[in-house]
Parts: sequence; C-alpha cells; structure tokens
Amino acid sequence: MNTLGEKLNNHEIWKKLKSGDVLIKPEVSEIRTGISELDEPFSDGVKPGNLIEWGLPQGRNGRIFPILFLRKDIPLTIWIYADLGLDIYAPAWASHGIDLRRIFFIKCDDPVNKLKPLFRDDTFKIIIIDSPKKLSKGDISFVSVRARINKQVIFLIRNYFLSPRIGNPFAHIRVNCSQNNKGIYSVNFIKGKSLKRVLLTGSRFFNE
Amino acid sequence: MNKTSMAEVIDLKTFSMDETCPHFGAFCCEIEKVGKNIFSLTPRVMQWDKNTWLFDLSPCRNFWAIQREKKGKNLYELFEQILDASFKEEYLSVFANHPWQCLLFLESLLKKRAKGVYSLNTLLNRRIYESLSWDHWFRPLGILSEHLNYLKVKGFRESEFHSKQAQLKRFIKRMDLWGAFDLSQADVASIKRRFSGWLGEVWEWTFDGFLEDGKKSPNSLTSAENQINLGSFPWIPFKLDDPPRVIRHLEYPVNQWDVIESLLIEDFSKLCAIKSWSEKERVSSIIWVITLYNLEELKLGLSFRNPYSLHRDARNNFKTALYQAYYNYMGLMDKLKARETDLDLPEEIPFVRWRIEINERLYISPQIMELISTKDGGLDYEGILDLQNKIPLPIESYIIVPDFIPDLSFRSHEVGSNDSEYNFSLNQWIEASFNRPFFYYRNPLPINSPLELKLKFLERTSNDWWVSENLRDVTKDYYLLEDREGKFIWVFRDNSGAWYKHGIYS
Repeated sequence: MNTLGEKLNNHEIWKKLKSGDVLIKPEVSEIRTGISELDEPFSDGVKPGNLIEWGLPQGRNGRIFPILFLRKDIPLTIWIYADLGLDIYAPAWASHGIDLRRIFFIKCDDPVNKLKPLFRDDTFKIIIIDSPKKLSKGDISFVSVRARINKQVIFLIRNYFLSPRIGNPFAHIRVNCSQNNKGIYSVNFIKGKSLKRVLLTGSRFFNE
Repeated sequence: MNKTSMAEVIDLKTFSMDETCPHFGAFCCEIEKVGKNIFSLTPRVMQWDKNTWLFDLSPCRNFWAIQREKKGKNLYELFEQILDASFKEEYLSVFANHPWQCLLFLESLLKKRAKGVYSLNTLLNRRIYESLSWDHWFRPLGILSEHLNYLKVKGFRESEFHSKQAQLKRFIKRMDLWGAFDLSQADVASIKRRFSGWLGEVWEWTFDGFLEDGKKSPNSLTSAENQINLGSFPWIPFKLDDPPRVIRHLEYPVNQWDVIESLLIEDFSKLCAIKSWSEKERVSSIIWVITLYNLEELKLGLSFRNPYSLHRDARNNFKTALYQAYYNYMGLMDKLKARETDLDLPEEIPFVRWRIEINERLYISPQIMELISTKDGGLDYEGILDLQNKIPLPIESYIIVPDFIPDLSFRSHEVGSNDSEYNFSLNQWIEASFNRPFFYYRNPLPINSPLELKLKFLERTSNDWWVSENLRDVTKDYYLLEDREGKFIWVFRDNSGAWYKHGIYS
C-alpha cells in the first residue's frame, strides 16, 4: 500500500509542481470549422467550458453552422432536440461530414430538468441544446457551471433570431445565422470577440 | 453421417457479420446442468418445458451489441462461446425475433440432433424453417395449451383448442399438405374464423416477418426503438431462487425525497450485502413496493436500459439506482397529488413501509467475465450506457443503410453496436443525401400544390416497384420549396401528383 508521501509524489499536480510547471492550464482544445472567415470571429470562443448561443429559426438552414464545428474528429457529442414534430434525418448529417458513431441524439423539451444526470456527467464533451421549450435563466446558469466543471462545449440553439437588446450573460458568443433566397449564408455576431457580419456562399464551406 | 462430415458438407451456423442482436432465443439442455448460468445471456427467462427455456434478450440487446463491438466478432460466435463456457457444448440454442419461431426452429433442429447456436436470420436457416413439417408445428401446441391454462388466459378453452387442432389436421390430410409453409398463403383472419382465435394467433406468430416483402423481413427488426409486441404469447418468468430483497418499516411516516434518498442508500447497501447474489450479477430491474399510510400498496419498477452492477454503483453512493428511484418517486407523487385534489388532506399521503427487490439480474460467471472485454474501444460507450440508466429518455444513435430511398437510407441502432456492418463503402448513399435536410417528418404531411411558389428540383427517387403494391409511391420528385415566409422546405410530388412536406431545412 502506498504511503501518503508516495501518493503525493505520484499525484499529477505534484509532478507538475516539482517540474516547475507551476501554471497548470486546463487541457484546452478549441474547436474550429476549418473555414478562415468563420474561425477568425469564433476564435477562442468555441472551447471547453464555454457556451455559445445561436439564433437559428427553422426553415432558414442555419443549423449548418453549428454542424460545421462537428465535422472533424469530434469527441462524443449529444444533440438534444425539442419535439417540434420533426425527427433526425441521419444521412444528411453524414453527408456533411458528421461521424454518426460519435454523435447521439435525445428528443426532449425540458432538457435541464429531465436530463440533469447528462449535464452532471462528462461523457459527452459537446452538448447541443436545440430549441428547448423549457429553459429558465437558472437552467442556463446550471448548464454553464457544469460545462466549466466538466470541460464541455455547450451550443444553445434558439428557434428565433437573437436580439442584442436582450443579453445572455452566460454566453461567450451569441450569433444569428441564416440563408437567404439567393443562397448566401449570413453569420451575424451580436456578442463575442468581434461583432461583425460574415457572408458566405455555400460552395465556400461545402467544398472544404 | 457423423458431425464432422456434416459440417464439411453444410454449415448451418454460417453467421454473417451484419447480424444484429435478436429479440428472443430458445435453449435446450438437460435440466440438471442448468443453474444460475441460464441467466448468462439475459435476466428474462421462461421455462417452456422440462429441458427447454426461452430467452427474452430485450433488456440486454445494447449490452451484447457493445460486447460484440469490443470483441470485434460476430454476435452469435460470442453467444456460442458464452454458452459453451456455461454448458460444456451439451446444448442447442436458436435465436429469432419471436419466441414461437424459436421453438419451432428448435424442434426441427432437435430432430437433426444439432448442437450449438443457430440464428434464424441467415438465409439457409430461414429455408430450413420454411420447410417445417406439420409434426414440428403441432408439437409445441400441447405445452402452449398448458401455459395458457396455467395463466388462466381469458377466452382460452383447452377442449376447443384441441378440437380445432384436430379439425385442422383433418383439413391438412384432405388437402395433402406437407408442412406449415404449404398453407402460408392462408391469412390470419381466415384461420381465426375457421379454426378459432388461438390457432390464428399461433399462425400469426409462425409467419411473422416471413411473408411480407423483403423490407419487412425479421432482419429489419433491428432498430433500438423496435420493441417486439409479444401480444398474447404466454410469458411466465422463470425464477431460480427467492430474489434478494430488503424490507423497511419506517419509524415515522415520510414522503420527502431528501429523507427517502438517505434511507434508500442504506437499503441498497443492505441489498448488496445479501449473500444469495454477488457482484457478478448485473441488474436490469428492481421492484420498489411502497405501502402508503392508508396501507395501500403501490408497485414501482426501477428499470435499467442496460444491465448494470449495483455493487459497483455502491462506490458512487448508488447514483444510478437513486436517479431511477427519483423518477419513479416524482411520478408517484404527481399521481397521488392528482388523485387527492378532491380530498381535504393537508399534504400528500406519506409512506409507512417499503420493500426493495431485485427483480431481474444477468449472471456473469468468472468464465464469461474472461470472454467479455472490459477495455474501452476508443469511445466511452460504457459511459453512455451508464448515462442511459440515469436518464428517463432514450439516447438515439443512427447508421446509414445502402438504400437510395430517403426514408430507408438509415436506421436507428443500439448505442455502441458495430457500425461497419457493410464491408463496402457507403459513400455513394451518403453523398446522395447532401441536398436533404437535417430534420424530416417521419410521416410526410400533405400540402397544397406549391407550383406558384419558388421550387428547385433536387432529385427523383424510385421505389422498389417490383415489391410495392402501392404504385403512388413508385417515384417521387423531390424539390426545395421556398415558402412565402422565406422558409426552405423539403417537399415531394408522388406519382399521382399529390404534394407532401417531408422535411425542413432548419
């Protein structure tokens, strides 16, 4: 049986302290899309512990943007979607580069109350809460605290465009995305490192 | 012909890699050799006759799918190894998607003196099943009748059941039919009308999944959502011994969760300390019987989607079991509150006593433990299974199926099961879905003709017209519709010109 001294010697923090690596940083792994126009305004935002709020009304094809972040070597991810009469059409996700072995789905209208163990657990490193029917400010606070503890990335998707007049103190980035009738995709940042509007054609990111 | 030469000529056990976990199994072995090991594949077992047992694999399908993934081998080979380790190769086991089909297939293989594991999902075994003789078909009916009698099933009369069997036998003789599949075209309603409802039921069980088109074969009963409806099949749970149980007489009436939680932790600890079971066993169901202040008894079921170790959960203060208990408690309190709104009571009725009982458990012997890998295969599927036991909603997972028809190009599957069921690239089917939306309506919604709106043609899909009876569905023209509000919608027009909304580009 190890003595307390041996245990301390083997402890990760002790090893780092002994090695002089006093500044212990969490293992940061920022998630990127690989599209420079998007990665620049999102930089340092989509990383473990952060909450990103998206304004993506249905029918505007905006969900392609959070999905762009899930295309490459994602950790285990869960997409919690509200019951709006629609189901997941998995082949479309796969065709946009999503690894279906790593993404899971739950249909739930009241995610925080019904799925609390999921937020307390760190199995899923990316959690997407899509158009929740019930989500109070207290719930968002709980989710963001758990995200920091478990080093998870949280995407909170709203089924409407976000307004800059009503803020969300828990969100690191707030962004509205949509596609117009000319096929141009618009990404409009209302909170984050740079508050700008990015316009992209589909070919810009579908060919990446 | 000896066993070796038979194996050289034809191997009935040829399993393909796209086998998915079946729903049921039948198992034949001398009763003396059957102990706790009978629960090594599933906690849900029924003793059909002296030497025959039925397995309901539904509580463990995820578990076995993951073990298959970890071992990187065929599921039935894994089952065979487990049963070999438990019963020393002196057994016969068959797997299918209905217990009755398992029994019939077992009957026909017993006559061939077969040993080992067989699946009704392989083409060769399906052909053997289809050549089932009337003798094999009639034989299990006697035992069925005993079970129905034992359960006192409403509407079942043994004498009528036997006389209708005799009537059917006379009919078969007159028609000179060799086996059950010679009469497979007779529909269930006709059999029920002519030979009684119960023979009709048996008829339905026999051919379930065998007569429809290829899309609805038993192989398609593989999605996580698919639950087999046993209907009127008489399932009598087999218990080897008294289940481990703990009874608590509360010192004072209580109905507050905070108090109940700490008492439950004590009770779960006591359950784990009972010597009649061990940490080798995994629990899939616990019964919590609560006695209310008015001495009314209410039975709650703590169900775990994946068999889990209560002993191991002790290290986490029984978090998983407590979550399940909490969901049940909340449901019960809501029910009581709704029931007692008319009564002039100050608060919900409290509990005075409860009993906690391990209802279903999977037995994993040390030999089986060696066969089951404990290493994670890169992804933490064990973590997901553990989570599934803690949350009240199912976690969905999907895989691609090589089919160009949009609705059939994917299916849900068990978390962690092998996704590389096809030994060829699925890229062309995946690419075909590029212009389709991420969310769709499982049942397309009829809409008015949108021809005056902005439409962009996407693709034409063609059904398997040679198996389809509905010619309206033969081809569908898919369009991207932009409605008046500027929303992008996935619509199609069928052969008759009718329009449907099938998805939303969200």
